[in-house]
Amino acid sequence: MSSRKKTLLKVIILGDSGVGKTSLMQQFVNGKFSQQYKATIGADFLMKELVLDDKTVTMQLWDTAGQERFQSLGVAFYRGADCCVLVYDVTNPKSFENVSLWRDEFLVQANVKNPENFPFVVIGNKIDVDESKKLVSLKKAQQFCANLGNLPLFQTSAKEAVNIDQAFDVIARNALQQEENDEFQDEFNDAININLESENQGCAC
Amino acid sequence: MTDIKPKFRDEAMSRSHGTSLPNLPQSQTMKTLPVAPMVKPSASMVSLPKFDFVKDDQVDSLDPTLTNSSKKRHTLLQSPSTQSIQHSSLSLIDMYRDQSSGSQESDTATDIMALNVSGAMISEVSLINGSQSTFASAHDLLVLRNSRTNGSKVRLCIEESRTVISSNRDRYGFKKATNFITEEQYNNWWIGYASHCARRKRKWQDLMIKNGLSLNNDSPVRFPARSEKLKRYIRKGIPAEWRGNAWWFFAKGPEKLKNNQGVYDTLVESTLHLKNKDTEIIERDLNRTFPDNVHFKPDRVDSSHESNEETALIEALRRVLVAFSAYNPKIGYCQSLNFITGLLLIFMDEEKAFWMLVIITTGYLPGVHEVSLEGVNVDQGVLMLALKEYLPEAWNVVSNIRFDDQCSGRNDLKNHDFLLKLPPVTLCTSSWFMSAFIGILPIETTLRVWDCLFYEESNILFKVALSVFKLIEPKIQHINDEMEVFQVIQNTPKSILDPKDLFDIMFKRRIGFNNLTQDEVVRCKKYVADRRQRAHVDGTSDTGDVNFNRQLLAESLWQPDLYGFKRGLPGVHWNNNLTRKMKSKIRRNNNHS
Repeated sequence: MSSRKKTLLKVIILGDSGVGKTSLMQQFVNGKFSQQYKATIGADFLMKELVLDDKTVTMQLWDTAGQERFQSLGVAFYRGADCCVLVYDVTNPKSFENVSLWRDEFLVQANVKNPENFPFVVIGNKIDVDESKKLVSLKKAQQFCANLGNLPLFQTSAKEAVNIDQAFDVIARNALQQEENDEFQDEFNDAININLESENQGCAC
Repeated sequence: MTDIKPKFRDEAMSRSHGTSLPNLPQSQTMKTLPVAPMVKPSASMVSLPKFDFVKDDQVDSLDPTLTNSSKKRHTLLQSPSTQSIQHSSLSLIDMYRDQSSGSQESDTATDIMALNVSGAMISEVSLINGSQSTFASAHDLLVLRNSRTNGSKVRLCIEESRTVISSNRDRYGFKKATNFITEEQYNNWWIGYASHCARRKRKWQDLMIKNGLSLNNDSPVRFPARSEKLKRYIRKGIPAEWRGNAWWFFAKGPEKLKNNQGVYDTLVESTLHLKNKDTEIIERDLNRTFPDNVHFKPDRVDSSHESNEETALIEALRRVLVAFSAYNPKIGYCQSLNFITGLLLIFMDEEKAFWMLVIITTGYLPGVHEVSLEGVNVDQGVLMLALKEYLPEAWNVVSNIRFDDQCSGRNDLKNHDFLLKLPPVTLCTSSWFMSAFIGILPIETTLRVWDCLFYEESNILFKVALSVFKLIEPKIQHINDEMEVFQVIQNTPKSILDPKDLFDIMFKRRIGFNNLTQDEVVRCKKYVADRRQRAHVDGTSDTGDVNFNRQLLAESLWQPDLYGFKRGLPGVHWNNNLTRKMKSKIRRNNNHS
């Protein structure tokens, strides 16, 4: 685990079609918003380098198509993810209800070692709209995230760049921690294996 | 926590079995529709046509009396306006933008008159059919008709190169600049390409005249019979003004429409108020279809206030996609169909665009957009096999991309196991096929690909993909970082501004992609589909399963060479795999002795 090794954090962004996954990612990586994003087909990815407490990390962000049927194509890149971002649209209650489905699907497909501790971050996007159009209340979302094991929640606007950096800072930190935990765990497991082997040998005698 | 069922999958399964529109009564099929026009209306008689034409051939074989009656009904509704629609669709692509303003008003006047005539008949028809809310009201039909007329009036400004250079949009209304191409690059390239187009058009005109075909006021509807010469002409580009007609002709659109007269109109009317999962996603995708095209998203005159008014093409796009989702429930709506339909609508009227969509999703990209997306997986399997065969160096790099260590290593290449669990690179390449390269290649290059596609069939898509990889190959040879490789694969096609860069590779004899004929593609698709199907039937696609592995082992005993591409001399079945095996065997024997 040398510190010179390039730290690569893999982040998957999931959520219903049209909640603003591409916009969030573009706002974070390129600092701009456009009305001209096309619907994402398949998957798309962007890289961004950032410094976290003197440590340079490369974030690899995977943007996905929101339509359900595309799930079957996406399996391959869920694996090895360090953090999963679940996005909903505050104007669309259905997209909020589906957040837990997306989470379940991710856990099944990514085959993560410790599902209880895997870092998810929930984002409610499009808070720039009129109050009257907001159909998912902050309170409801907070309740939901608390129930799922205190998942971090952010209310953002990709359009007006509200809360984007804050959200991605937490995403990056949690991903980094997950990455380090994984490495630690691998070493730990190896140690156990060696012990077991020697015990077995002992029994055979 | 780990054994949570993937709920999406279950939903998808049930979705694929549902065959009819949720909002339409399903109890009565079209055959039970009252044939006599003046049956007394009763409350119990809610008989709507059931649009579950999974196979469109079925439509043709429906009860003849019914077809007649629905045809008659359709004529009643449509006859006053069809003329004006047809009239305007003749000159869909206009060389001169400002020609249309004069005739517009008179058209609208005719429409209103037409509506008054048909309005009475519509109410009669809706009485017969029962007053279901999903069915169109007289007012709906007025709006519908106006919108359809407007849609077919969209004029494209295919003008001389000079005009285009002064504008920030191309001749189809797309912004010239993209994330990968600057406006300056575009203009520099366009000067040459415009003269290529003009030269090719003169050649085409000569060809047409020699074949005794009418240019029909720069909108020919019939094209020469198939020949090597015609194929060469198409590969060098169909004149942009003729494209819609030419695609329609070569894809056998006229036959399709002839067998399905009136079906589209009936579908549109019956799906006018349809609301379901598909229409919800369609609504969300309408404004995300070609936001960089003026016909889909006009320049805002006043930047402070966002206009909510939809363009005629967006309205047409909605109608075609919704009608299609009802017409083919196995597909419903799949993201990427919006791009295919959107591009079609720039070149032809919406009824033709609808039937082209039907033709494309059955003939050119079969199964690709179905709920399971199995067609995508099959195509990607074929592409991977072809890559392995034709560009082994690129394959070597690409097949090594693994997103994590859990994936088994290279040993699963031996038995073509990669067909069951496709390499991660297919995440990127599957969208190439789903949208038939729209948004992947720059627009003029995409259009040239489409020209060939409808004349030469789906093998073109594989040839294009291989050619893109040929361009990628030298760039990825020395990259160690797999994500960088991925990025090159993702970005390279987006900067192929000049179609020549792609086409020179695609059809150059020395490179040999010509060997990948349609027969070969069909054969290979069958192999991949069988292979995947068998793995699926055997209970599990999990390669960790012992029985599964045993099965694979058994397979490899009786099928040692898996798949052999035809190479070299025509008619000779050359199997590279065999050659390689023989060579190594000889080498081994030599070493032993």
